[in-house]
Amino acid sequence: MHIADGVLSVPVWTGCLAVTAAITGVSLRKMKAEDTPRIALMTSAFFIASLIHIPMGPTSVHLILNGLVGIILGPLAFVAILVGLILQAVLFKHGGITTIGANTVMMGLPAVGAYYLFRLHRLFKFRVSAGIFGALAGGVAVFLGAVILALLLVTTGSEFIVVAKLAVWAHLPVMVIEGLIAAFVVTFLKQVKPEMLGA
Amino acid sequence: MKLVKITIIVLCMSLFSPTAAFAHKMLIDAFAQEDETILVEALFPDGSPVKNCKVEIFAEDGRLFKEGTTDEDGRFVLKSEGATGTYKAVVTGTLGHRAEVSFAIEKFEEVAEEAERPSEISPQKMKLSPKEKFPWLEIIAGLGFIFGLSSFILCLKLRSEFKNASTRNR
Repeated sequence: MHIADGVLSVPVWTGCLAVTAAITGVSLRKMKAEDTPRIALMTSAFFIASLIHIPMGPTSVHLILNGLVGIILGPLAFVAILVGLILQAVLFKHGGITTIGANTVMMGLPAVGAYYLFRLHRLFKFRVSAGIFGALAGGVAVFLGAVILALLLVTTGSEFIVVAKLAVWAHLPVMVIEGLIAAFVVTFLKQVKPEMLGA
Repeated sequence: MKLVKITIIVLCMSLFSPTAAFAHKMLIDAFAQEDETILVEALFPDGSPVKNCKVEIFAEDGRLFKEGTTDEDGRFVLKSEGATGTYKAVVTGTLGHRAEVSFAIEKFEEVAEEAERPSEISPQKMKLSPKEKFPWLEIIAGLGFIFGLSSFILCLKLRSEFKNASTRNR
């Protein structure tokens, strides 16, 4: 779900770029030295995930992993996603250079949302609550990404409900796969390295 | 526990195997054919066609020349109507996909006179290579960049933390 160059109008992509710059600036100030390896790891995973691609009718979708990045990094996920997207745009020609801001907002905001959704698992004491909330967060992050994509494309004159339906429908397999991946990773980390989940 | 570990490893390996289809951008090509038509074709890098998407052909001065949609094979054929010069084809896909390519339309009359010559441009031939190589180099470059950038940030952060610590001690 990368938006290519030339799709969005100038005010939209510059606005998104400004939002991205602001959030990234705040995150970088909050970031501690010991967070760096975690961010680098998740940036790498995010960067490569987009190469795994599923053909879906008139469009093409790929893994995004923004939910998992969000669960592990929290608000710092914005930095990881920004760097990952810049590298994808430059090296793989995915998306565009001007739309980096729009794409970061589209994948980064749901990532932060996934973090707060995942934190809710502490309210439930049963054994697999982390796995279930991990799966939920992984899936919901992709869903929200599709909705933000539709919102951004509304500014190009397309109808929200039509694009949103198509985007959500096309990303349904991605939601399921990412939910499963997030559930696996979260269950695993919960047992071997719970501090990585901010426990 | 062991089972979970193995499952994750197998999952990761199956995801990152080179046989997995990859990439996301659109590949498009447009060229004039001998029968005074223009063929525009659009594919996703795994070879699947970009179906039912809007194609616009712009003249050099930015004026819209023709528009249409791609068929089930990701193609759009239109009559060039004797037009010559440089044109730009823009394919707008769904969900923010977009690609453009410039191409030239030349008169094919001279070619027609030398009809005996084996035809170099066979009509309706797919010019795009449907499969791209797996971008190993780009992946390594990207991972190297992430490693370098994180090291740099780590250095800066540690430096400022050490500075703060030393001024506090004084």
